[in-house]
Order: sequence, then C-alpha cells, then structure tokens
Amino acid sequence: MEDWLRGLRSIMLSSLNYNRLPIPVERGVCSEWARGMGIPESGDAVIYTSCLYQLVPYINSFTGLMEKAPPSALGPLVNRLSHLVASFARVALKPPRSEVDRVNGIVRAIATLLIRNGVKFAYMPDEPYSGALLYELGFEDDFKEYFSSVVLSYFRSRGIKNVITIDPHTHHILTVVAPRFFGDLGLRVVNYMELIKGVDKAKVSRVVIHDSCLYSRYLGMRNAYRVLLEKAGVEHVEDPYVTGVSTSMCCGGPVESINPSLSNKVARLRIDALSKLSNNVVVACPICYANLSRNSGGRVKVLDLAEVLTGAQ
Amino acid sequence: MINDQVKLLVEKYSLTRCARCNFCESVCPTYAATRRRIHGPRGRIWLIIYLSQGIDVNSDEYDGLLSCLNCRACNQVCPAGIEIAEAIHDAKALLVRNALK
Repeated sequence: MEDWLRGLRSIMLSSLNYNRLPIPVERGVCSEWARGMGIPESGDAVIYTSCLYQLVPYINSFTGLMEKAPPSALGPLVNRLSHLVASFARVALKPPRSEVDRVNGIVRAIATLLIRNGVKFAYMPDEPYSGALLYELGFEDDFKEYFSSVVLSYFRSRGIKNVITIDPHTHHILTVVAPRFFGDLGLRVVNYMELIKGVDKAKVSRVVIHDSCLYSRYLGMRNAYRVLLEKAGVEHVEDPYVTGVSTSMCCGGPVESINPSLSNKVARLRIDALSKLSNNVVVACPICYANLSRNSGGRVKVLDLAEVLTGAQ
Repeated sequence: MINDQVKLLVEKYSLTRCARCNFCESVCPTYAATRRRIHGPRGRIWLIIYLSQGIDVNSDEYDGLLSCLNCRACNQVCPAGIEIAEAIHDAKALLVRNALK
C-alpha cells in the first residue's frame, strides 16, 4: 500500500502541476458544459465547479483500470513509473461520449437553475481543482501547499469575492477545511442549492434520496435538497435506517482510489438498501453519482438533483 | 517519533473512552461490507491506541485504517461522544506523512 500511496500521490501532483486537475486529462473537459450558454467569463460572483462533475467519466475509467490491476499489485510499478503512468493515462482514459455528455448536462442543469432564479454569475474556464482529494486521502501537507499556492492565489489574483459551489467536497474545503488552515479566505461561499427559490414541477414523482455524507453530517444541509424536491412535487421516500441522518450509509466513493473492490462492495450494498424504497435514486454529489451509477447494475436509475429539478430526467 | 504524535491524538480525542460497545460497527459501511473488525471504527480506534503504545501494525491493519470513508456515521452513534472520524482522519494523515518520508 505504501508504494501505491507514493505512486498515487506522484500521479496526482504531476497532474495538478500539469493541468491543475487531480487526474491526467485535458483541461478542455472542465469548460465544455458552458458552450453556447452565454455565461460571461468575469463578474461579481463565479460558479466554481472544481471540475468534479466533469471528471466523473474519467474517474470511472480510472477505477475500471484499477480494478483490473489493484493497488496492492500495481503499487511498486506505479511508484517507479508514475510519470509514464500519467502520460499513459492521458491517452488511455477515453470514457464513452454518452457519459461525458451526461455530466456536462448536470452542470448545465445547475447553471440553468441559477439563471432561472435570476442569479447573475460568471464561469472560470481555467478554474483549478480544489484539492479535496489530497486532503481526504490524508496528503495534508500537499493539500496546504497546493491550496495556498494555486487555489487561493487564483481567487486572490482575480479579485474574486463571491463563489457559488455545486458539490459538497468543494463546499466543505472552502467553508471548513481551508479556513481551519488559512483563516478567513476573504471569500463569500454559497452553495447553489441555497440560491434556488423556485423550481418547476418535476417529471419523476417518487424517489429515494442518497444523502452525501458531507452535506448530511458535515455541512448540515440535508434538508436543502429535500425542500427543493418537495417544491418540485417529488415525494421522497424516507426510512429511519436507510435514509436516517445517523444511519444512512456512504456510497463508498472516498476509497475508490485506495481500495476499489471495497469501494464497489459498499456501493452495491447501498444500492441494495436504496432499491427497496424506490427505483429512482437522487444524489447531489458527483462522487456519489459516480460510485452508485457505476455499481447500480441496472437495478435503479441514479439521477442528480439538478437533473430532476430541471426536468431533464 | 510517530508513536509520540499518535499519543497526542489518543489524548486529543480521548480515544480510551471507547467502551467497545460496537454501536459504531452497526452503522459503518466498510464494516458492513467485510465484517472484519479492522474495517470498522472500533478496530480503527484501537489500532490507533496500539500504535501510540509502540505496537507494530501489519499491512492489513494499515490498509484497514486507510480504508475509512470518513462518513461520520460512527460519530453520530458513539455513546462516549468520541469524534471517531476526525481521529481516524488525523491518524491517516500521520501515517501517510510517515510513509512518504
């Protein structure tokens, strides 16, 4: 495992140096969603996607490769040849176009909800990744170095003061983790759900919510998406154990780069539990979306909250 | 030296308050997946305590600690009020820093 950790860290750091993304893909994948939407590139408030949704198809491809050669076997090789592995990954990670279109559609749906609610915002075609994965895997020194030299200096150099986050990992980093290390960041951070006041009636009528652990147990936001679903006329089936605040289980995503087989097993157990309540599972986090949809086995339909609220699904 | 740093964690989070009641295991997704104590909060807490006492950790136990999802379900049900997820995250960061030296 130590070899794998070294290799993983090396791949992530070289990728962050190369394109400010945690896995080696081309930067263009981050801003494709905004094409044709007429969103300006500068303004008082910016949407900060951290490229997390857009990376989901590439994370799925990466995890698929890892399952064929698990970290325990691959570790020493990756550790010695991390630069070659990063270059290889840049070529090899070619997810199906349909998956890329789906995640771009989710980010577009979030932007559409904001526009419909009269929120004025700009987007950042060259936005850097937040560094959440470094922190969550325990690479804290690397996280602090990366966040201060890249993310914080990016926001400060552009005079950005108002940030709209669209996923729980980035929101947690900006509102809890980074302030703990760096004090006041000088940013006003809001999540897109806090800005959505009105929504149209949704196409689906009954769903079960898979709570993001961060939204639910770290950020105290588990009611935000419940209220929005209710406004859209969607019944969310609740169960004291399966969807309870203390007992609802994680999707397994946080360990997909450390122990993919365990991560998948956790996701399948979660799908088993959720499928007993509804065939439509609503998520509000790109990592939950990635891990649950990859392991759903066609038993449930995994939908992002924004897709439901815009009527895209 | 890592033992001393881990000792500080044991004190900071009062980990020895763990009464081995297993409430945490009943909500832990990785424990549910493997039914192995090292993949549950109780096993991870005691691993941290053993580390602080200078007891060696094998690679299987090390993997168990790193595979914590930090989902915080265990915190919610711990009758002793231990911030289990935070303790495991800090221990992970220490072990990772040590491994990368």
